[in-house]
Amino acid sequence: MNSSIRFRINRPVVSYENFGDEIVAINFDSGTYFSFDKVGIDIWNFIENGATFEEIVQGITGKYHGSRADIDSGVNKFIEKLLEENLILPCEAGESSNTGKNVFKVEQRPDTDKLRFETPALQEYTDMQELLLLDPVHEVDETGWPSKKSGSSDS
Amino acid sequence: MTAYHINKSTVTQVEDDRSKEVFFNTLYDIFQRSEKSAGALYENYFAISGYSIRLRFAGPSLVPYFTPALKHLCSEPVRSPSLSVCLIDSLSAQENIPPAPWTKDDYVTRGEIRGYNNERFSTAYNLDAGMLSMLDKWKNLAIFWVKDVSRIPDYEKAAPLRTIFHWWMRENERLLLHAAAVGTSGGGVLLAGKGGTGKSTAALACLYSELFYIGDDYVLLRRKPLPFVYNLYNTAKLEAEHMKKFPRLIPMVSNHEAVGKEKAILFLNHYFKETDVTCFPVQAILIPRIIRTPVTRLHKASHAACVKALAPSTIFQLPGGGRKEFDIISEFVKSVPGFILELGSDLSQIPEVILDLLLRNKA
Repeated sequence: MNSSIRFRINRPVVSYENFGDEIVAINFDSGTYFSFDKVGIDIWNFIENGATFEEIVQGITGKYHGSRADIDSGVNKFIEKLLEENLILPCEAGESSNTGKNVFKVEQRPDTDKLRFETPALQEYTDMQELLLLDPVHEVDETGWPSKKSGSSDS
Repeated sequence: MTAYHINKSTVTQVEDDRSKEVFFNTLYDIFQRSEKSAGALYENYFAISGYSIRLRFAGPSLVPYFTPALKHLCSEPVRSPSLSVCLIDSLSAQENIPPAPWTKDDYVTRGEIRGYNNERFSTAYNLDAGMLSMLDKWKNLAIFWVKDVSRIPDYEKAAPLRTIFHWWMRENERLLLHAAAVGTSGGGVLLAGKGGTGKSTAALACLYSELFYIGDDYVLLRRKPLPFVYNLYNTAKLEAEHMKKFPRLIPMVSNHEAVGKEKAILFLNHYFKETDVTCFPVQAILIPRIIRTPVTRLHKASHAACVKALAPSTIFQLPGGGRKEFDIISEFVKSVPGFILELGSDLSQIPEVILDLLLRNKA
């Protein structure tokens, strides 16, 4: 991943709430909702505050104990997943992040105070998607109102 | 010439509203003609969560479909109701619904009509049943048009007009929640979760207890100044396979012939003494989980677990649900404690556990 790339939360398609120990995010277009915690929350906060990929990795390295390669790979995988689920979007050149501030704090903890790095996981819930699926069996009559195809049953 | 400069986007907005208003007024004109020609006045007033709602019918045909679930909230007529809903079907109107002013591609998810939902109007069409809902929020006036009365599904009879109530209530400091609720006049609990997780089982298990039943599927939430839940429908719905858990309720089922294809529907006010308790402060959110032991018990649940149980099924079931609902629910869950309610097979323990929780909260 390009180290200077920034991202933004895909508003208004996506909303999220940070409960401190867990973030719940919802994609209104796909009907999917997600949750993540720990390192995932830190990465999300860096994204929200306009950090580049490199700055996110530095920030996570400053707070968590792990090899640079593991952290780079874990952050990369998590961001790739957020992009895949359209929760975030890459910023175009010159485009600011959601906050537009590009203000974030890179914490540099002493090694003894660092938390153990665990690759963040994005928990995905798809049980609501069917509620967004259109009835595939309809046509529109000459007045513009849907009419059921013959042979389909009304539920 | 700058003195006469008109913002192009303002003009577009006005024209945009005008096209919706023309269609809404066309429907309303037909309704008024039909209402007059019906020869008698068919209207009912309901006191819902502090608001007076008037249902006006173009004739008698829709009355038995849309009033039984609200009958317990029936009230005296008022001069200026908070919301008026005009209900009409094509047979009563003696004419077909006017041509749709939108195209085939404008029917989008949850029945929403693309381009017909904005600050003033909300519009949705139920493809299954041929039912159009349209609300003018500025006039507090809604039209509900059913093409064919015989296609009205049982779920609409059990929870009538919920799309219109959802739109209007969220403009008026209420939120239609997909949840059940039971409690006492001093406070109660919300039961949150998608269909099949045990909301109805838990709520119905409380019917013969000291707890009041406020709803098993949809209730109204007022978040401020303190979270309060209001009753809306007097119905209960049960999957056919769960009926055997409640043998005493089987004679109360109103749609025996449809059970299996649809959920069993019970109009509880026919069988249980009506009470004055139609609302209470929310003291906790319970997330039911059906387990295979007899014992019912509670475990602490996180705010995030509560929002996952409450928000998606509320938002994705109703046309127009989105960020506003998510934000309200997220704030709401932070204001009350949450618990996992492990539902044991001994149903008598369910009201006991909930009552115990309420008593402990009170203390």
